Amino acid sequence: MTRSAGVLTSLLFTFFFVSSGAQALTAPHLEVDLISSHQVVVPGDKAYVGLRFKLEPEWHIYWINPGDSGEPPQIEWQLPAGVTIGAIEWPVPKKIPVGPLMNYGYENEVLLPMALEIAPDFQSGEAKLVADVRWLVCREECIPGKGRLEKTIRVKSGGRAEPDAQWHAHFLAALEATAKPVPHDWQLLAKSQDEEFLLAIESPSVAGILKVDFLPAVTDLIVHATEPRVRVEGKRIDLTLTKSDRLLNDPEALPGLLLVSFDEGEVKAFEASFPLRAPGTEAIFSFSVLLAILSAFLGGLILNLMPCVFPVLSLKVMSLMQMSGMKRGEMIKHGWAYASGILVSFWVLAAALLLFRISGSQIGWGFQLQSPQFVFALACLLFFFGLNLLGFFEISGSFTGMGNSLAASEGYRGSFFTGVLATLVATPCTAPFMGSAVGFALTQPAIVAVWIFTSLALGLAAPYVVLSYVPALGSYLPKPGRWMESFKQFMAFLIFATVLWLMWILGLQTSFMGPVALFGAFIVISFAVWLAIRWPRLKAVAVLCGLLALILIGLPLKPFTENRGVSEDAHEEKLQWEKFSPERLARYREEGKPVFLNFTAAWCISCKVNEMVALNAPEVQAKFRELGIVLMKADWTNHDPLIAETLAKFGRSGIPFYVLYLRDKSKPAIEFPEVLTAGIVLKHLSQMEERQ
Amino acid sequence: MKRSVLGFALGLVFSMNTAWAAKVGSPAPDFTGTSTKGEKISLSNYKGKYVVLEWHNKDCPYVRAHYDSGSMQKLQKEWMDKGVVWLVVNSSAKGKQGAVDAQVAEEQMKKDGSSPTAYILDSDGSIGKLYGAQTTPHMYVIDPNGTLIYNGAIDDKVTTDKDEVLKSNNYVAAALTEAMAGKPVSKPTSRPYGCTVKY
Repeated sequence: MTRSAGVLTSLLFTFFFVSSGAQALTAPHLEVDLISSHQVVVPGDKAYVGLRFKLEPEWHIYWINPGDSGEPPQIEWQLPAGVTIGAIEWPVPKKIPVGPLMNYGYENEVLLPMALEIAPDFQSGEAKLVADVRWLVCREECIPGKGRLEKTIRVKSGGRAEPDAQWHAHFLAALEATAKPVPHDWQLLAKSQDEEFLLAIESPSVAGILKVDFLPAVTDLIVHATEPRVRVEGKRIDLTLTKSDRLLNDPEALPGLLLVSFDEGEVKAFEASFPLRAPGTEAIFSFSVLLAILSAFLGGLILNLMPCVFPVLSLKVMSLMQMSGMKRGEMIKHGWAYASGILVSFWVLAAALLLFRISGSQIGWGFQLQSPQFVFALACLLFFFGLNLLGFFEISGSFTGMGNSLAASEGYRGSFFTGVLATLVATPCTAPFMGSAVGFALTQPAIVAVWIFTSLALGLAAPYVVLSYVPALGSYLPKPGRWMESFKQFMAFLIFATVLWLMWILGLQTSFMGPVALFGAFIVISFAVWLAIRWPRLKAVAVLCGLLALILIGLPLKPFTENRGVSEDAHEEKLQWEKFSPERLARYREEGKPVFLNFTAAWCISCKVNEMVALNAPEVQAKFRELGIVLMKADWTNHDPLIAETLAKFGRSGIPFYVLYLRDKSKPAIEFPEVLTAGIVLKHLSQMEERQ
Repeated sequence: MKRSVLGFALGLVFSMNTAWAAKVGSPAPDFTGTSTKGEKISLSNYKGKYVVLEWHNKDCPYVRAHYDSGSMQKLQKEWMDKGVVWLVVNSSAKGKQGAVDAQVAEEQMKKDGSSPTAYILDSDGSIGKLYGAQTTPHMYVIDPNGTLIYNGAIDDKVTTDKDEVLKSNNYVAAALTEAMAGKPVSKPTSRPYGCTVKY
């Protein structure tokens, strides 16, 4: 504020009451004018009058629902008999945030049109329209104003209407820009659920919508400042809105403006009223929740067979082998300990994901492996574990109390931590059924999301738990003996292979220095282990110094952000994968080129397998070239909100994911399954030829 | 990652602040603030009494109308005489309209002839955000059990005109009258009108 408070205060208490003929009225921070679309009006013909506000920069007036504060302009008319003026046909307002609050209003210039009706028996001559107008004009501070505006219009019955040369076009433009009724084929649904309203729009014509927002026409319905959670998938858009504190009883319908953009930039406004169904009568939501829970379980089950799980295969085999010689009851307990490890880590991942979503960060499934620190820590842990398997030292017993035992401890805790590791390492990618379930979960209230993630975890754990119940298992497993020692040592090398894979990811995420730092960390770990073995009394010191050194090495690792999409695929140049950028994608689509978008990451082994066996297959390459498809690759090895956002448009939050944008922009893009073979890709490509 | 951790923390704070904080029929969230007299004022100190919260900005024309007409002072006195605790809260951030220090606030109260139980300086807006206070004056009424029984405007006349204020139907008085008579509050919410709280 530049003005002194005193001046401002004195301004605030002064009402500006000015009478005007045809002149615009000047008040603090605005000019207001009463104008008409016609100079000469014919009774029975359509004509408009309107208030035209011209505001100083930064100042605004309000929409019919002003939002968290403010008042819409109000008009009291004094009209000759036979003349009626309709309600304001409100232009589409702008969202104006004020600190943590939200207002809806107009800045710069706005015309508020109202229909003017002249009764057929109105005598020719002049009609004097007098409007007493009140308004509130605000920047951060608000100044109420009022004034009288007059306008004289000539009425000529039987003559010809004469448009006002200056304003007629303004009225046409203003009316054109008002919100339109929703298209006939849009089905609007709404449901009240705890503290939220769930709105849905269903129609084939909503496919391709990029952004959606809802501005309520009445106040105290929803929290205006909380952005709706939006999910666009195929023929359906879901919006989740937060109820206002002051809404005690649900209304019958939620009226407001739906703002949608089919393209970057252009926003279309529709007047929409979402009828609220009484709880219990709506099948559609609970059905999709049930379906999501079911497909999550199925997805979890299938995840066990995805290439992504490969790095933890050795862990799984080992925990199975550990059961050799156990009693049946013990085996079952181990099975459940493993399952609870998976469950707990899924809950932790889901909670983190949901909280990040609340805070507005764009992250998705598998986000843990996008952090170089996490990859670093995981590699260190596995290396340490590998040394232990090789028999350099025993963790069980002496080390147990120190919290380092993790997966190596042979008790139930070991099974639990194997489950945790299996989840952290093996779940960066999604499996069939799982992708859409996870995407759906993130648009739902927390409680529903937790159910879906729980079901997913149970699916992942199920085969193992079931196996532990099979009485015959014990007899299939070899008897415990010296072989177990050799087997464990051999497994260490598989663990080291997993470490190598993590090192490769780290290299792509950071720079050449990432793997070097990691190798340094291995030296520190080995040294600490050596110290602890050689001088057992120094064990605590060794462990402490080791951990400290690891933190010092690991923390400074920085993701290699400026070069997004840095990829290991130099050898793939023959395929001409372009780096993904939303702008370039939009440009290609503008040019009418079909685009195949491949979402991948170094840590997503399923993605790599798909690329190897399907996308890089010679016959697929040939087909891509023949159809003139632009190939784009979105590399999500590092955290990237743009990629997360693009995935979210398809209701996804995890990879692998593939989508083919068609030449015709109005047609929905073709989504590909998570598991690809050359045959599947070719089949989908032929679909494209059909659709075009 | 560092940024997302910050976002995470902010998200937590944000989600706690906005929705469902002050819902009629639910326990009113407890807070502690500092009054112009330098005392620590906590809502929980007033268990067993009716408490009114009034959001204040001395330079807001809507607030002015209620003080210049004498209406707010009268309301405060009338209900404080019946044992109601009346807390005025100012959530204007430093440098924004209506921001006051203890001295200015005291002088303003003297000038207006207003003597609430306490005038709380909430320049970081934490109490305002906790309650979702949107405007000045935004009013809340809390019953002796600590349950919020009213959340909304001061009255039914959206006006900056002090003569109009005198003709209005006061929602806070109505809520207190009904509650003290053991009746449910017939109008427990309304749209708060006035100036935006200057967070």
